[in-house]
Amino acid sequence: MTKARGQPRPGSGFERLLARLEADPARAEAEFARFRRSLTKFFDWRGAHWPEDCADETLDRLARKLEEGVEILDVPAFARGIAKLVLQEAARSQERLTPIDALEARGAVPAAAEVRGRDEPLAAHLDRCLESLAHDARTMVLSYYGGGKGKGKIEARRRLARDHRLSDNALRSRVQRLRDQLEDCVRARAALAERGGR
Amino acid sequence: MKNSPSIDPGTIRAYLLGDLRSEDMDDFEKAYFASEEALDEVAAVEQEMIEEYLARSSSDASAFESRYLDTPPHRLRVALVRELQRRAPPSRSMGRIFPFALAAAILIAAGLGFVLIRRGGPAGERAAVSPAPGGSGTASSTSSAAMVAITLPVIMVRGEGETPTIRLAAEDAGITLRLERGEAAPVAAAEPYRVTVRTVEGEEIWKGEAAAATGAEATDGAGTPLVASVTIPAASIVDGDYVVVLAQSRPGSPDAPAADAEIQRYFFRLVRR
Repeated sequence: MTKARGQPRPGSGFERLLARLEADPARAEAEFARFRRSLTKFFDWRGAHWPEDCADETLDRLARKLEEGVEILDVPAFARGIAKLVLQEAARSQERLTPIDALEARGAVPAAAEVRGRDEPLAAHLDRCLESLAHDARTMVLSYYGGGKGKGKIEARRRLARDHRLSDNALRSRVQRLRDQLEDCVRARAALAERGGR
Repeated sequence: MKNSPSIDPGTIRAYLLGDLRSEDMDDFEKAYFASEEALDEVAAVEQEMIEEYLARSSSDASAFESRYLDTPPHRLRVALVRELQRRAPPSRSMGRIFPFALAAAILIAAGLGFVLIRRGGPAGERAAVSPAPGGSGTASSTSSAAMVAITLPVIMVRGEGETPTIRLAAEDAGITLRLERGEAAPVAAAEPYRVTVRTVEGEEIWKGEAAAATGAEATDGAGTPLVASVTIPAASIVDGDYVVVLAQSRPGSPDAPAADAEIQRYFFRLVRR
């Protein structure tokens, strides 16, 4: 189960999942994306090292249950139950397989000491990822972080929201999604670099 | 998108730091699974916590470090926000109150010695321009042509102060950037300085060596201590806001190859007359 998927096989667990999440087929994919985002954030905030993989594993298991004909009254509640099991499994495998020191040594994540300092590989990946954004999106995300501190920052963000004809909350949400996109891109580039690619 | 009542920010902070009781955690998670707005609220508080931590204004930095930063994706997120802040353009407040504030700012800055603009005119003013020595490849080609020079203050925080503005005339062939020394110590005095000029969107438009400011050139005409100066060809740059990155080669070691180490950044705005 991944982000990008083609037309679901008729009668498949995935098709049933889409239908359970949103009865209107035209809106089902969007609702699925929202639901997957909630799951990814759940794993992220609960400390999973690979939140997206955990979210996809949860969705796979959920779709299998639906395909097997298991009666599920409350899909989100059922999904959260599966997610907790997946989280426990992930925590065990994280302890066993991916000690943080090893991740840091491979450059897959910044070391704790580098969080406030300069991280050259991250900076280079981010430059490339920023280039991949549309000009308006890149300007928006950079301007959002450019307002200085305190009142100045608040004012600058309000102004930015007004310039884009957005509410403050809508701007904040849009920047969060752009930052998530950049984060995915940086992680993918780091993985590629780790495998010796460019 | 479904509506939902706001979640208490204190509860969100407790959740993100792993301080919420498990029974409260269930209700909390149920709320953000049910509503995208609730999810965005949690993400917004997370963002605030990251920015507070990076600004060193977090009231709970040790909990943030020991719990939130214990997770690799969170460390990546904090480092990413830090890098975005570094790349962010300075505040646009000046541009919005143009032209009166711009005129006033230039007058004030000139009075303080922050901005010193000189055009091909009186010989005495010409002497204020620091030609860039060999390496940047610009000194010889521009030394006899009309030039504009500016002293750029170190910007430690985006939006701090106004953006120095260069008003370029059609006859200007080069722009000399004199870089304030600031507080950053050079990595190795013997290594040449390197300057990269980028648009605020990150596009590199010029790169070259800069001359260390020594002797009579250690300060500008207003007495501002300088670290280096560089002249860039006017033809290579169009109107807009720019970031200047001053770096110096970091000597290699058995564990790490030689590389450029960033010293500090500056900003300027270019406007053609």
